[in-house]
Amino acid sequence: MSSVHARAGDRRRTRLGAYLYLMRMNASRRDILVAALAGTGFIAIVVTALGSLWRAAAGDGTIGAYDARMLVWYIAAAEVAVVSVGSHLLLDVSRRIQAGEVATLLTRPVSSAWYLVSEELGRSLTRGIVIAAPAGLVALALVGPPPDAPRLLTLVVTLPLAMVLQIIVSVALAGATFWLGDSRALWFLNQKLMFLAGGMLIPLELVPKAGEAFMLLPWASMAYGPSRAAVAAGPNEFARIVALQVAWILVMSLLLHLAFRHGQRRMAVAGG
Amino acid sequence: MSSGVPTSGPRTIRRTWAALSGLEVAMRAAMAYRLAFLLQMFFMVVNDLVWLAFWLLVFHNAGSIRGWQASEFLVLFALVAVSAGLSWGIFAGVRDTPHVLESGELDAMLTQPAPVVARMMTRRVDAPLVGDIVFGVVLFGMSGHGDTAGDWLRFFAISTCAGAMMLGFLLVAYSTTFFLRGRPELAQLAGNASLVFTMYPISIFGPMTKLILYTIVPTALMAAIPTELVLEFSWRGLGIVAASTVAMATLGVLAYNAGIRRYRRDSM
Repeated sequence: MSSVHARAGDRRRTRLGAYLYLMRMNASRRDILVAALAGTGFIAIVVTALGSLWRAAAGDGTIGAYDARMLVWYIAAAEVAVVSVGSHLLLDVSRRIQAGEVATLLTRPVSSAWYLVSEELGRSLTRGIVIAAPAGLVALALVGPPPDAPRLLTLVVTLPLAMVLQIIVSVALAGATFWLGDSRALWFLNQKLMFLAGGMLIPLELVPKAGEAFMLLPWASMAYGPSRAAVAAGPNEFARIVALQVAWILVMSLLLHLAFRHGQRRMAVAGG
Repeated sequence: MSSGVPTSGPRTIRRTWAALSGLEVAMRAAMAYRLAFLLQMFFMVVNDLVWLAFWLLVFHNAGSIRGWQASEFLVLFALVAVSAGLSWGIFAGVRDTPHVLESGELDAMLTQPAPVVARMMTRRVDAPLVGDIVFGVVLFGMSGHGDTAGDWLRFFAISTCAGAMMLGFLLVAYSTTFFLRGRPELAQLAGNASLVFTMYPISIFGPMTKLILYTIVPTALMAAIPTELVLEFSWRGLGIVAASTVAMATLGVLAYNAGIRRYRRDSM
């Protein structure tokens, strides 16, 4: 009996090693680095525009509990969290399902869903590291240093969790292609939910009525959570934000697993 | 004619007109799948509504922003939606320049009599962005600034000028792909910058950013000044908008033609 457990443990370790290898391989891809460097201009433009807007809106006072400095650094963190993950990931995975590429992943000794997640996570980490610098520099130029520098370190924990969650949700939604044949509408919906319900453009405290409900949704854990933790959250709130991120990752992982297991079975029955 | 790019004379006008009539074909192609066309337009309107909701939330929290009230911002948004729909949507072909260069399609265009710049402009219609025009018109109606036929006429005329300026800027931006051996990054960055910054009231930016927005990426000319003119007519404003429109449209065509000449020289 113990040898059976040992073999299962070995398999899990081997799979985990494969996912980590995939992540590392994609993180070190030269084309991803070049594209990320090219994307630094875009993130600088967006943070300049949105940051200037919130700086002007707050003026010398506050909006909600945020002053201009908090708002600008909030926006910089939120943009990095969202833009790190490829905006077309959902569409790309959907296209790979349509083209039958995902069917070829079935021959590998790893889960095809987690294969796709590991690939994108590697790419997103590279992108995140590259674009964080211009976003931070623009925020610095607009309003000076962050309101509480040590708090900014919370991003080391919350940003990777936000990326993992965003990727899992995107791949899981792309799984709808197994049934619908297309997932452009879901991509569009997901993106728009990120804008407002996710707090990518505006801290959710500033959204009347619906803001508190939005905070509990998965999109808030992708943008609002990390940004709030970086500029305003105390230790208890930080713990709550991380706990919510982990909880959503677990729930969405289950959905991802189910979507791909049933979807692939459907694909096999239909003949690929 | 040595460069292959006709520059003057009635024949050029006839050929340009013939190339521009290709717009009808591009429009028919975009509408070939009627339901998909309408659906894409619908999604763009929803996208615009999300942005509108965001801006209304900002004004709800801040009251006014550096002298801008929500109703004035609606006019800016409406003008940018219509002008972006015209330039980015109707003349979407300009943005295909890197693809056309890479695929070698441009070589075929060079053998034809119609000016390449006109052929490129009318090559494709971006259906979702046409939805922006519809959205912009409805939004102007809701802004409270469209009470008389004169208001509407002024809005349409100035939005068209703003669209021509955006198109001129896009032509300048995409002309860089000829000089950068087909690399699209600079053109895309400039295009995105123009689109992003037009959406924001110019008064929110600091002096350095303003300097850029009046010169390198002149969104102040494409959106801020035209919006002021829609809100309050002045002959001075009209002069600035008219002169900027002619200047930017001309600069766009000249830059693009220079790019085509460079391409011909390099391919010999």
